[in-house]
Amino acid sequence: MTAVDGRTASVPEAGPAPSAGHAATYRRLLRRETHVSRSGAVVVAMLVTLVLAAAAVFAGALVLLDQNVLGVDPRAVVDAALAAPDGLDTTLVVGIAAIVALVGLVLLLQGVLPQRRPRHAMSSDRLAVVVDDEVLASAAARAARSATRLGQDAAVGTVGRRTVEVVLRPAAGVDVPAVAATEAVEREFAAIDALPALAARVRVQPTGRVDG
Amino acid sequence: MNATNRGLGRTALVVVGLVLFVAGVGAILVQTAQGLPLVASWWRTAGEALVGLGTDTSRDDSLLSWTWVLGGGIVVGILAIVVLTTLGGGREGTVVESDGSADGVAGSVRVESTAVQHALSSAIGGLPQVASLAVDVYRVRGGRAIRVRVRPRRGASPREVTERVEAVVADLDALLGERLPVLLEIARGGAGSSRPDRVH
Repeated sequence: MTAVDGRTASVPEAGPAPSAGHAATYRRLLRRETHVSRSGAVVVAMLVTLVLAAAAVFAGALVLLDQNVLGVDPRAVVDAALAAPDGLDTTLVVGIAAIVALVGLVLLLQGVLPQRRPRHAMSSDRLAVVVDDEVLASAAARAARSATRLGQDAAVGTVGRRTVEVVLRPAAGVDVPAVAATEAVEREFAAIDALPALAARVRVQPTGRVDG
Repeated sequence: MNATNRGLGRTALVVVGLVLFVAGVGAILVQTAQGLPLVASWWRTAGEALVGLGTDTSRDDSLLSWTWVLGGGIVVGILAIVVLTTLGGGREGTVVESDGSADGVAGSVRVESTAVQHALSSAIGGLPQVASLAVDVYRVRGGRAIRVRVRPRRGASPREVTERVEAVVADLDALLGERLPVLLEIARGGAGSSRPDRVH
């Protein structure tokens, strides 16, 4: 924590006021970084809207100018649609309507569901920190391995939203200090202090490998 | 981290999604379920409301209805373009801009983003845990925020990376005389990340 003291000493004008402002900024940054951006879906939705709007403008202009395209009058099209279900092919209408409804449902769910990214926030005095779960998993695997005498690929880490699990796969006949490995992983994640908090678990696979 | 307005985007998604979904389901019901009295009566009401758009109406009525369609199309189209323009952006070229008005000295100081990028890249890039990194400056809530995206080597401790970057950022604070918000993103993959960090 000497770094913190050094900073406050060297930058006296940066008092509590700016860091209070940073709290809101950091909250916003962390929320944006741990949730998926919907910009792709938004672009699709807006392009669909633009096409429909352009069609409406085009049809309106045709009627106001008393023109028609390929002998089709927009007013006649409306007549035909309002006459439904008479005079329309049921399979065609239901097929197109189903596609439209499906696209609408997908866009709706994209807008409503929270859609988290596989990431965790980490505590820090100065920074806003986000870590990919994959990085946490490989740190867990490394920590578990460090307490044992296992090789590179004998430990596999998996990180969920609230749990981290390490599976040790020792070569046949090798004894593994599972308790020490668990303690090492727990120490590592106490230091990491992820948010939401991660509970560590180490499992030793009973079936040994032969290649080790 | 860019300046996309996510609230607006999600609202637009919900509105467009609902409209398409309701239209699709409505069309299926109208085509196949006229036997249901609710659907039949609702469809009759809709037909009466939209009669102005058909051929079976007076010239004035027709012009009025289609003017509404034209105007509605223009308004909706403009709204869609406005939503599209809110996507992306937010990268900034300057980090600090100060005219030193407190001291009354003429002239102004401007620190460009590239200066901060070079300073942070050379300081953080030297860390043994770091395989590759990128530094960008964005506009967040009216101010400037620095994003440091680090791809660590395999097995590197995130806490160790964070502490080292904290120390580097403390130096940057002293250099700038201002504590800018900094986001540290410890990301997976990247060049050299499959190689474990052997020398500590």
